[in-house]
Amino acid sequence: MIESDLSPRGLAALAPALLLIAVMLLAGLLDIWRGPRPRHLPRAVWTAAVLASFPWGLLAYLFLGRAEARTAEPGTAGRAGPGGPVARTLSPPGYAVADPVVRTTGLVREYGRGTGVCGVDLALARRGVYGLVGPNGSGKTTLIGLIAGTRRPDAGRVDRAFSPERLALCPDTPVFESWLAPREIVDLARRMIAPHRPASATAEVLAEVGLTSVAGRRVGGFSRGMTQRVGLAVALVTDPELIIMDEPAATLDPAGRADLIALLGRLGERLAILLSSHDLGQIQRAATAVGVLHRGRLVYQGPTADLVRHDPGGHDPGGHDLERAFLALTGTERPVCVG
Amino acid sequence: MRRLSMTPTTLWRLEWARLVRTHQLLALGALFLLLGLCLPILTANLAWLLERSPDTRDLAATLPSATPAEGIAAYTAQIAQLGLLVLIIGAAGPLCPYARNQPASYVWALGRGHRRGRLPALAAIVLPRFLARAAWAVAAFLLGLGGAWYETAVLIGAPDPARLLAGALLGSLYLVWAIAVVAVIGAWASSAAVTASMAVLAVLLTGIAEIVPGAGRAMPTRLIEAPGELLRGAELTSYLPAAGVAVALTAGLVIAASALLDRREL
Repeated sequence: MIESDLSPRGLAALAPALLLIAVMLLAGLLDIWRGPRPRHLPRAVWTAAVLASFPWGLLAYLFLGRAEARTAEPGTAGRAGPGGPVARTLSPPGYAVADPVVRTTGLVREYGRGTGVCGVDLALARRGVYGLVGPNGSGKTTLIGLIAGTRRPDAGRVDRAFSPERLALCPDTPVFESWLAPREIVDLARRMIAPHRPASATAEVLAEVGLTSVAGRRVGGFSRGMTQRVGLAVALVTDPELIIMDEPAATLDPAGRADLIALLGRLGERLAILLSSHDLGQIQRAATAVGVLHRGRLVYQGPTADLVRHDPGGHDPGGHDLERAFLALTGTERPVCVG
Repeated sequence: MRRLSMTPTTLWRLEWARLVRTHQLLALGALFLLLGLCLPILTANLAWLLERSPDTRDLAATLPSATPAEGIAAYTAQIAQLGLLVLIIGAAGPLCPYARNQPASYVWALGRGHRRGRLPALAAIVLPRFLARAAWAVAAFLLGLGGAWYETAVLIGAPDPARLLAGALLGSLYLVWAIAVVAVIGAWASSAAVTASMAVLAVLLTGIAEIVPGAGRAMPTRLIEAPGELLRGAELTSYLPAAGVAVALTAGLVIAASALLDRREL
């Protein structure tokens, strides 16, 4: 029928299908060769797959192979660099337990086999950086989740001196839709959470975290450090009373860490920051107060300087080093949080 | 700098931007249109193809002339298989917001900003994502059905428009129900791959349940056959139980997905 019937009727039937196939193939091949380097396979292999198994190869490329263009780190111009604010030393306001922004009382969350947190009484001052340190599995992430309200306690309470939308949580590896730009992500957060803030706040926080020059690029091509800064910008634009950051420097290079500490130092002058980290040097430089979590229990909290100067057990650790004090606290066996 | 289309200023526009910028809107539309254009051509020329195929050229087969119902049914049969698979895979990512590589905490943070306190998952996640995906599926299905109608009308004969429209509505209900299945599994699962696999399994099992006497006629999976069957002369009323079940299940699954997400901890 097809062979013998290339009449106007046959052409009218075949033409749309052939045209669509041609357009789909052309669009796919152009994207493979003119777009960013595809994932998983070389361009030539994706091309062969698209041509040999149309349209399945094209669908596979769309779902599995398409990649976002990488974005280079923004230059130091306009970035929260170490040149100025980094050198600024935080002025410890003292550990104002009397008027905390968050206070937990007897907080318990158990996961069985001795994991979780047990009877945590923690108090955060209204200003300054509170460093939460502890070995792996000590319960830092659980405690953060309980304070943020993303996890429910088995017992105890969390008292916050602010409304829920004034708390911003920055996970250790923030993930954003790869096809959004930082300006869009931050502006959407502003519209949703802090609509009272002017539109200019978006640009201000992007400048504060050093992302102005890449504000219009898609975040899919960002490094982890840049993505971390986008997360911080989202937190800042919501006008928070408290920012909780879970291991924010874990994936950053040394320069990125220095930038982050400088930024936290500035932010700590106007709001409360709860910073969870394994990096004791970072905590020592950034935190005005510190809490040491060990096997689910808060074994120390107070000004960082006090912990560095004195062994809580009464022994001078022999130097002004947070790591030694930390080891003195966590090296001893403490009751495991069970039952 | 690449120009970014459609600034997402609300969660609804965010979902629209997701469909546009990931090219899924165009890709699904193109795939469904391709199926709609090609399958009636194959149906109309089946005898010609059999005569020339090396496997079947020696067989003496006499095929009746193709009917409009067969042209449309060939399209819906592929949508029930391949189309459904692509729909589920495409929807599994956005509808599984707590997957490890999904921006759940961002959405959660946005949701908290509601003036009455924390925004429920229904409004923050499920409704925008579910409705966007459902609209996406229905639009692609109707586009392909339009293509199938065109080819069928040109090559075989024009289908009855009223019956085709009724079939289109019933077929759309089926796809919306399938997206709701993805939503409830995505609210529970921890990865998009698990969500897609389990959703495919759930829809397949529902299809198998059609053989259960009595209950079979109320299964939502029947609805995708409706465009072809109505054109063959089936009564519209025979699909009403399945349509009612599909609507009720869709609503229930969306509410269940919201409840599951609200209970989840980050």
